[in-house]
Amino acid sequence: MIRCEKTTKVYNRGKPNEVVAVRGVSLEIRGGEVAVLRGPSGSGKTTLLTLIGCAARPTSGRVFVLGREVSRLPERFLTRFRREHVGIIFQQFNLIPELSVLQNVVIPLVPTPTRPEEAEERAMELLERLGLEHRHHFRVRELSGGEMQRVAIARALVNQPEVIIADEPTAHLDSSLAGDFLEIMQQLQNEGKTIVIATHDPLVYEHELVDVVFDMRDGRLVEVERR
Amino acid sequence: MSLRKHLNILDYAVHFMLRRRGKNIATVLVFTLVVFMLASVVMMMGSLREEAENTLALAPDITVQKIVAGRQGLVPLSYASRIQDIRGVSRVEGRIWGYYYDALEDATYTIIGVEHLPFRVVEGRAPRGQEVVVGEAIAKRKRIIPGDRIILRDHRGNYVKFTVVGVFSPRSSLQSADIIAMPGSIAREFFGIPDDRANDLAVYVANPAELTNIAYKISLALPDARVLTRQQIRETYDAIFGWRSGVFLAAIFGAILAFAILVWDRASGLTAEEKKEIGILKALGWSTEDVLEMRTCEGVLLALNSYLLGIILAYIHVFYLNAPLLRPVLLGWSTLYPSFELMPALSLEDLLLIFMVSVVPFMAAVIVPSWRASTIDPDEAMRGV
Repeated sequence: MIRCEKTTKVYNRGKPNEVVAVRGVSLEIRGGEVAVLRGPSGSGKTTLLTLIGCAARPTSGRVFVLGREVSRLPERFLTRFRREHVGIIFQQFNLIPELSVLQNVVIPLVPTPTRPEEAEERAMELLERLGLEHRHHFRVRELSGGEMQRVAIARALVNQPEVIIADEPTAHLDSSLAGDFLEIMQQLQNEGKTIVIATHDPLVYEHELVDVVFDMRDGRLVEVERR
Repeated sequence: MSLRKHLNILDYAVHFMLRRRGKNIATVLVFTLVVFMLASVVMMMGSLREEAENTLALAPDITVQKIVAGRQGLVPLSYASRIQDIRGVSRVEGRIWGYYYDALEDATYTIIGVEHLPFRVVEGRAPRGQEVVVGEAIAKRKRIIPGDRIILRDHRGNYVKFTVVGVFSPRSSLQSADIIAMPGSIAREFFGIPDDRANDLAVYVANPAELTNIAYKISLALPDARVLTRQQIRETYDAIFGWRSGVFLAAIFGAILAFAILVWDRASGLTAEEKKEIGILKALGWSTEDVLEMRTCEGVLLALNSYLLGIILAYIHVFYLNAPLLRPVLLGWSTLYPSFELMPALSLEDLLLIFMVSVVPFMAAVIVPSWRASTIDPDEAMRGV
């Protein structure tokens, strides 16, 4: 389902501020699994997540997602692949504050041939499922942290992706809201989605829904714990 | 299928624009003002040039004046027969004309002696005996229509009654607005011009290629004559209009500078929120082309609306309101003319010229920074950059 082969990512290559964020990582995540990339800040877990999520290309090595090598795709095709198959949940939520909840959720569908009515219908279904249907016309700046994250989840799901990646999803949530988040992830896992989470929150990586934990340090994969 | 996608992006662009209402309204206002001023000057100049061309079309090939002590004097009609003898000259006519100050209206008119009407008449016919045809501006100002009478004071101080038998068409208003046309012999008597003299001579040439050559021969034969070809008159018009529009363009330099600053402000970068939003869109699966398309739609909507608004306002200003903002600058001689209406004359080239100096740099200023912002990697947005 997801496979990395000797994947390396270097930022600012050849410049004085060159950083090797990921060094020769090889791993495999099976379809329908919940995987956690665990490690301290600067361990390379977010970078690896962006490579798996097709938001960046590796400097060397190969990345396969859904059986397709995405590491060599030109930007246009990589973007399209990401739009069609990957849902991203950001640490900072990255919502657009002046837009309403509904408008934020449909953003990934704008550069597609989806009709606005259909896009809104899909978004409303997701908001209903996440208990936010009554807030659909609110501006996101009027929402609580937990609600903002649920909007971000709805936005990540609106394209009906097979793979969901989440970067430190519980960093800004209290324990109760973090529990709600994991419950939603559990439902998505039951629907057959593959979920990859970068985190150092024990609430997440110790949760029973996690199938595999990849420990990272200094850009290297140091341990794999399959449950 | 793909049309739907573009409509979705256009819809998003409209929302993007409306969210920055204050900034965009300021942009539209400045942009519209600059287009309005440029277009007003271009339209007015275009209209004046066209009217000047119409005047030139009626002007003789060569005009001969007599110069006495450096000033224009009356030409002896004997000069006409000397010019007629030059090979290539087809016709020579002595012209009677002069200025008439109307103290009542505080305006100066031009009285011309004619045998045939030089301009089209809206209503009426050519004058005979004590009859006149008047320019549209005079008719409007003095509220006269064909059949009415006007009284003019001749060179002896006598008041002479004339019957108005026609009004010149507004289409030739630059040339005919201030004109009172009467039969040549009546005009001669009115001004007290001797029978063997004329104000100037109109010379017509059979072959236009010979014009310069013939003008040269006339100036050799008549050393006290000033010989003006149609081309020289055209150059004088061009110089006056060019100079006047240059002065005005210098005057609106401030507005153009404001526009340049606005364009520069856009070109020098997007706001932090705009950049962040572009990063988010990229991370959510928008391609560089999608972001550029969205920003281009925004720029086109702003620029085209401002451009059209500016052009329409300029059209109303120049051709309906008679350019009240430009008249004092561009028509310095208007104290001589009672008034005249500018006739709409707008070419595609003029519209394109204004488009090129306003819309094109603005679009570049919108697209270039967006292109720079949209080429960032989506993972930068993930890191909250």
